[in-house]
Amino acid sequence: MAAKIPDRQLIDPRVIAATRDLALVARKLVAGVLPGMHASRQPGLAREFSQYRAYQPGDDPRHLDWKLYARSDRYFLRESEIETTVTTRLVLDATGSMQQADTVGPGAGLRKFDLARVVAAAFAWIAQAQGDPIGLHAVTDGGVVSIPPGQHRQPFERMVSALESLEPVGTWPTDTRSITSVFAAGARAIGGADATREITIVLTDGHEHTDEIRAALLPLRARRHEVLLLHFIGRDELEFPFHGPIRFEEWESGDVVETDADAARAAFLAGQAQQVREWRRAFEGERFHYLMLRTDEPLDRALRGYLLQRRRQ
Amino acid sequence: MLQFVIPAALLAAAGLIVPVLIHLWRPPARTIRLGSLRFLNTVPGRRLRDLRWRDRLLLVVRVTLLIALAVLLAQPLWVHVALGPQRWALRSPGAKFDAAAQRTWDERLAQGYQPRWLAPGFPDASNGGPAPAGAWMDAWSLLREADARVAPASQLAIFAPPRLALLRGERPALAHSEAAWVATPAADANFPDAWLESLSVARDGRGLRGMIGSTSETGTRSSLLVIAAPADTPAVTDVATGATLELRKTNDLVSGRLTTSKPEAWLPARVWRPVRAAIVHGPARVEDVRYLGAAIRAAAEVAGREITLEVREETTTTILPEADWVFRIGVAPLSAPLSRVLAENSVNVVSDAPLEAAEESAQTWFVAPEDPADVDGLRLWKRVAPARDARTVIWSDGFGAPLLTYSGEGRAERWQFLSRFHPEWSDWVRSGAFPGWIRSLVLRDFAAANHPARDRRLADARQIEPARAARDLEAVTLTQPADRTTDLHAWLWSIGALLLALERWLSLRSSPAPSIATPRAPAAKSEILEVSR
Repeated sequence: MAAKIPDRQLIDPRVIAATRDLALVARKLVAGVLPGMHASRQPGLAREFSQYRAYQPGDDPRHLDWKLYARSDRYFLRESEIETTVTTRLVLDATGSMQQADTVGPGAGLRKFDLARVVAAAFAWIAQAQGDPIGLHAVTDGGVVSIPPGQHRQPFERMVSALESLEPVGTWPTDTRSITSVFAAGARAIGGADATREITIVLTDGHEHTDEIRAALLPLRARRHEVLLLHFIGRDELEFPFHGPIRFEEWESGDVVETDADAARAAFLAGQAQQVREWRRAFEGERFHYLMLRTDEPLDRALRGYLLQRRRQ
Repeated sequence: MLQFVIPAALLAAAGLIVPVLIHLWRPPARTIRLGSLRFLNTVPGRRLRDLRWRDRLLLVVRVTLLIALAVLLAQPLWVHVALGPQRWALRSPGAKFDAAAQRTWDERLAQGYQPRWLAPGFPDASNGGPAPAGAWMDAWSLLREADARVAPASQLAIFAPPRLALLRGERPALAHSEAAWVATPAADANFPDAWLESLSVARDGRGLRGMIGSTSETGTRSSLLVIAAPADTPAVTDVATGATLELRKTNDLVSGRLTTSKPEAWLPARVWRPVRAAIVHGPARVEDVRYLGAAIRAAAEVAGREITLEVREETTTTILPEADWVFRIGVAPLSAPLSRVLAENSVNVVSDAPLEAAEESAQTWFVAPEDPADVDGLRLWKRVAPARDARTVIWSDGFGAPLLTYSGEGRAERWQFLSRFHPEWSDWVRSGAFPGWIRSLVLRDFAAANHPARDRRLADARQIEPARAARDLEAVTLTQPADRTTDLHAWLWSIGALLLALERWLSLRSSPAPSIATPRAPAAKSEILEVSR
């Protein structure tokens, strides 16, 4: 059944809206972008031979291939490419505002959370295929639901079942320490010393009351993580396709603003653009990467962004 | 007080249902849930609450505009109603003031009485306003109307000669006003106290008979003056009236007049011989002939004259009777040659509705202005369509169609009555005006004594004070005369224009300028970048 569906098409939001099988959609989504995926290799000692290299002073004599020295009377070092493991953490915003769905466009009726869930599952699938540990921290209803990385041999199924059971409710916890402590605990569980080999992928819509999301994420910068911030923005928020008198209600707080949409459009769009600029400024840096995702666009951009970053590891 | 010429046009105000329904049926504001309202909270003004108020204001303006249009269609008039009691000084157009009356008039005006003419509409009589046409008005009916127009407890001062001729009909009972009659002198220089009613040659051919009419404050009478030898008598004084009858003879024709302060025209003496009248009628007009014949005999009897009457039914072989007057009832019109022959013999012809003319039903009345025959206002139920010829219209009906026409042919007269002398056709034959008309027509004997302008009899003081109505009598209230109304058209047009301008302004302000669709803001678009590095 699934084989009949073209891969490109499957990552279209419309297909996601029509398909309820999260695991299938995630796998297909990965299949669409996998040709560009390369395992990160690093010279080192491993079973799999890569090449010989002439000895240079300073090399560890233990790496010399003594058998080859016996045959050729030269010093060579036997090199192999070792597989690196990169721990991936998914921080999924599962607060109420993620229920936001477009009213128009190809992603109409599809909640941001549905898209974020597919992307998260796709990351899990990639991680499982590469043998990388992956963990999930879903921020929902003032707390964090965590699946620490490295505890399952088949993290994809575990991740998919967890994602399917999640529903976006509540608000982002205002106490940022509860989140950062969870992140820190996860890092310690991995082993701590190899903390550079870790990518944190944040999937959020960026809707916060004050700046609680940014406050929670900024400590990641202090640690030497790679952070990829996927900012989900709906088409409604970018185009504001409303007219006439409309009663706007906020998802999380229930606040209401009644206004004339035509009159409010310019200010709204300007505010939205300003917010994107602010986020980009806050999360654009040496190890921080910001990616804005439109809800009406195919999702493979998210994965390609990840893979680019993964390659640099 | 607002009044409408066409109140039914106010139904057009029902059109305001349309904007009200549109307003009511407008769907409530859509609810859109957004992740964050932060950017909406900064939108200055133009909140929905303001919009709703503006919508309501717009609705009110539109409804008011429609009401104004409906009122405009209904042609509103503002009728000025004097709130308090009024004081009117009513002056009869024929009244001549003596010193006492003038003094009273001036006193009343000084007391705040409004000077008005005692005439239909009660026009303003101040500053010597023009007196309405028609010197003699029916005082009782005018008083009744004035009482209905004024506010309760008003006062009316009537300046008119208390002549009986003014006081026809029933004495009114006034409900709103107290009326006081200020008697002005009854004498009228236009009409002398005595006049020569008729002058005729005696039956035996010798001597003259003069009928002298005289009137005074106590009575009106006619007295006969017989002059045995007119040839020898240039002037005769009537003992009863003291008037002198002056005679002159020119070309074998004796004429006379009374020598008074204002000499009258010479009245020629008529030869006293029987007037020959003949009625030629169709077979179905026997009843008409009875009424006509009775009227002719009555006229002769009243005038003391002799009229021979011959009645014939028209047949094909009828020879025209020898007569001074031929009444042709329900027969075909005279042929032109026959009419010419009759005219050479000075035979006057009176025809009624011709046989072949189609009768028309008409709920109307006689219109005979300034005619002494007193037929004005008589009801008319049937008539025939007038022929299209150039006859002089003497009377007409209420629609202006000719009713009695006259034309001369040589020395003869041709009268055409476009109805029938029958009570089913009009009230005329049953009124006293009918024999009076016959008398004036056939005998040339105008009943001058009955002319209200000549009648100088005075009413008793108890007769001229209008009765005061009982308090519980339901008073008739009329609006003020037409000159006290203000046309509101100009005002309403300006109000409507203002409302329309306001409506357009509000409407254009509340509906946004048609925005060119901006699929995505340019700023936002630039943010959609490839993976940032």
